[in-house]
Amino acid sequence: MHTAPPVEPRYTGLVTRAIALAIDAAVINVVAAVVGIIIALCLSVLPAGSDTEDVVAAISAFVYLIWTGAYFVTFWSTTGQTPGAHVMRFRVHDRASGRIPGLGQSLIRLAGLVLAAIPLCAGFLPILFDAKRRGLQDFLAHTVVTDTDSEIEPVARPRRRAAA
Amino acid sequence: MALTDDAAHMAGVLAREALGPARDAERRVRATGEELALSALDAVLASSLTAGAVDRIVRSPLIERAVSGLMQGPLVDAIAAALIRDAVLERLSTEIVRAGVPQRVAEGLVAEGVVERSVGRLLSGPELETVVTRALEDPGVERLIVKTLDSERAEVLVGVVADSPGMERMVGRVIDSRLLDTGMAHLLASEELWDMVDEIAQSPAVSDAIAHQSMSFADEMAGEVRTRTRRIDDRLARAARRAFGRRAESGPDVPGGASPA
Repeated sequence: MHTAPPVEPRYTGLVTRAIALAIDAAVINVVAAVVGIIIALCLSVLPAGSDTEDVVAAISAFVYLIWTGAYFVTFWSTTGQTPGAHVMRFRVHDRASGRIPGLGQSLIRLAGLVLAAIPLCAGFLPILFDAKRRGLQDFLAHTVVTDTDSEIEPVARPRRRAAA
Repeated sequence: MALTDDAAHMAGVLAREALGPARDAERRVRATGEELALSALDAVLASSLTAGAVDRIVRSPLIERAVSGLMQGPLVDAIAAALIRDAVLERLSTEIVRAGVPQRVAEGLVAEGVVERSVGRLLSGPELETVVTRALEDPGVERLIVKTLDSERAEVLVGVVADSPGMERMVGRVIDSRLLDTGMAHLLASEELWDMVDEIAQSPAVSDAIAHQSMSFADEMAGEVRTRTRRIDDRLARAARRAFGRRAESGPDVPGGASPA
């Protein structure tokens, strides 16, 4: 768990986050391409009909979606930053506690990210107007994105009372 | 009293007059005797008998014993002490040098080819190699070289030589000569060079240095990108708020951060 300096956090803007997303997309697609090429090479020497190819294509698409979703959720819920965010030096926090988001919060944020991208990326426009530079995914998951050199201080998690 | 003195003077005059012829006769006899003695000596020296006698004396052990006794006796010591005391050798050497004797002797040796033959004999013989080998093995030579190289004078001397136009010309000639090209060609053709290059390239120090340099360059590039994107973020946010007439609710107006409401 990282601690942040007590200064006012600097919220990360649209361009910085877009570049980080591009880096993440590059990583995802490079890995997917390498894996896809390996699978295609293996299948090329095996006798397979057109139906089998369709099935393999459907499975590959499904695996690709899972891989993409798992990539973001895993990184958000474990370190608070994807490799792209690490390069651009920002991190995702829970808006109230300042902690890195949990697994459910990360899944909601991933769904928000997809929803924000569907209407011609209009869901990202609030980043330009909101004082805390939040997009649709941040509003839905109750998260904020701050630069790592001005991170917000996490709030201590309240202790559970022992059962009486 | 006066009569007595005059009488004595007169007696002296008469005596000198009487003895004069006798003294002349005495001088003539003495000169004649000396001439006769010298003539006799010349006759003795010129005779074969004298020569034979001298030869026998010289060949006899008598002379050897005499010379040996002379050399072992105090005479030689006395002569040596006198030479040292009176600085005879110093005066003699000074006079010899002043007269230019060494120069004439050296010129004569050079003109006769003695020096050339001696140098040739020295270079072709084993003596020079022996001397050089012993000198290199002598720790005193090592100390001398180290002391010389450590001295400030040597440093100054090297600096003067290195900065001199002559050295510049010499280096220029070496660079322009075929010697350097040939040497470089041999060096590049040698397998040892490439083995050494491989060793250096595969060494952990070089790998670490290259990796560190690459990481530093990548970090520098990423930092520059981050700075520029944050600046663009601020401008975009300000432009958007101006366009839609909204004001930020909170946050600092710093580079990379949101403007306060």
